[in-house]
Amino acid sequence: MLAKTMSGTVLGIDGHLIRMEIDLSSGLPSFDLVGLADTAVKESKERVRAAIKNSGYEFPIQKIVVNLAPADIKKEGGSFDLPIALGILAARGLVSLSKLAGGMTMGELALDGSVRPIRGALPIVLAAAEEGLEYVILPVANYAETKVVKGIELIPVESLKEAVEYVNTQKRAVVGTSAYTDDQRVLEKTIDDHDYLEVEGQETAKRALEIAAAGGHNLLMVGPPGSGKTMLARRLPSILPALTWEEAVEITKIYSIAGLLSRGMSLLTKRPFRSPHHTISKIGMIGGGRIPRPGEVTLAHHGVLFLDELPEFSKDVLESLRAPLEDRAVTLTRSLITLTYPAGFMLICAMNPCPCGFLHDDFKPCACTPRQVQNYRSRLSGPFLDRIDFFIEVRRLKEDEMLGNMTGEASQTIRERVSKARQIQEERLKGMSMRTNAQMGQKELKLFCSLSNESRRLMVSVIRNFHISARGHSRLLKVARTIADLRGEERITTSSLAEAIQYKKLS
Amino acid sequence: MHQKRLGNYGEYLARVILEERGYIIRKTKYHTRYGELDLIAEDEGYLVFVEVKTRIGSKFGSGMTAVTKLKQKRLIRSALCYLLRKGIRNQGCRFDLLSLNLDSQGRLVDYDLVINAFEVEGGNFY
Repeated sequence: MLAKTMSGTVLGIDGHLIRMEIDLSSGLPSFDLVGLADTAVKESKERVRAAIKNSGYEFPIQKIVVNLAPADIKKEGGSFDLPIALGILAARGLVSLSKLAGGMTMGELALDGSVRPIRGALPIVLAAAEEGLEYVILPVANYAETKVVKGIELIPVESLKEAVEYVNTQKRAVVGTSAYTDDQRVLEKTIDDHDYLEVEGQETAKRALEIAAAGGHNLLMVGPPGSGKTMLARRLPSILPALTWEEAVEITKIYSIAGLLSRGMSLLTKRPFRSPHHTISKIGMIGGGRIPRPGEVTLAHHGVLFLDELPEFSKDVLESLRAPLEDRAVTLTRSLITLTYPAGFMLICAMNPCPCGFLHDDFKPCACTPRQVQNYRSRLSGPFLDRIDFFIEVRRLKEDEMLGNMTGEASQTIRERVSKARQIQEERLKGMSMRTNAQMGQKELKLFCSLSNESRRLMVSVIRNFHISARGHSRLLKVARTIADLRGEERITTSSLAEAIQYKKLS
Repeated sequence: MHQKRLGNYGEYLARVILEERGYIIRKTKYHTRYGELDLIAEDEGYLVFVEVKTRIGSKFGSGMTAVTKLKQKRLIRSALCYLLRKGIRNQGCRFDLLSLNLDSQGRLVDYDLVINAFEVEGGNFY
């Protein structure tokens, strides 16, 4: 007998449907899997055999062939265990063939027949819903994350037996709460645990971060140890505009694939903040591996990637960031497969001005030789620094600032200003496949960043006195545009440009 | 006891045991170019190829461990030979393993029958 069902696998961040055919015939007993299955899938034979037996069914002594189609997609992971087991039982007449053919099943089986969670359940279920399948049988632990999918019935199961029960009787063992919700307010109400209210002083740095958030600019903070660089960066997501529904689903998909959603975690409603340690490898940063997995740049998609102690990162890792910063995506090419992961993040870096950390400090003298300072800074390449729009110096707090009970502005207030500035940008850049000022190219700069005669004079003198390059010039314009947007100006005024000039690269 | 005589004695015992359990014995000691099939029987609609292992004492371990991958391969090839020669198609088949444990006087202590002891795996019959 031949049984058919559907399952799915993940390529990049998208789910793909896999058609499964399970055939039983007489002959010398065997169990074969065909259709470009990797080792973990091949091993599913032994799991399926044990799970069927230990669920109280008989494993057929027959020639069993399982086909996974299309044959040109590489299949990986244990998610095919459940469909194979159900298919074998269906081919023996223990499960309804027609009902099984109309839905999708996925899940890894334990030897005792219980169903274990899989990676990437959300993208696979999204693909199933798009295809118009009737239902999805999935591991109970993956239920929460898939609840955001519309138009498909979700059947969470704990064991093979429950799955068989459902297909035969349409009775769900685990009764879930009402499935689909698309309440946008959930996203707007999400509050970050960190707030700029807790940061005393550092008004210049906070202003700079606000501008960076408003325009999506990359930023580098330079300052002595203990001045609050990390604290400032950690709070950046709290002033970024609330996620849109699509963004939230996209982030959740990525975390589902990376296996970073813990059980019961549903839609991710906060912008991610990733701060990898400086010993991270290139693959850890941009993704990859024999079976490609998303790296930190992808995990920071729609959020913030924070690199503390920037010069300590290996040169390889920093240079590999150049492409994703430019394209907002990472393309990994391996012998069998080419994958693209999204990587639209804001890059925030922090570093000390010199190895000892106290160069230009108001209180403590620096103990480094000029040569040491130069060595330290030369670890950052010119092309890399070119991609950073913003440079700010973070100073240590003075006594009165440290002891005074000055509180900062609440993140919520800043966020409102940032959101307003973002709206202006989106309006202006509509239909141009970009959303923030930081993404503008030469053409857009010409269109939207024209200067008055007075501003032009200021720009000329800045270029002359500080030897600013062409790229530096367009960076200045972009930042000035964002400041103007924050102030609600139609055209860049001289004072907006003057503020932008403060944030140029340190010499 | 001589190895060959031990084997023959074991196969005689096996025949008795299997017939008692409802197997219908079709052939014994069937020779092919790849080796010998100890017993060919019918049981519950299956054509069963039974490999008999006879052991005195447990000095050399159980008979179960004696059927290595290589031995399985030989048995599978032999079975294919048999099916081909007899022109048998679309018949459910099975490989069973019967392991007999004798004491030093040659009396049967106990036996172990493994139904469907192994299966054909990705081309291991070539």
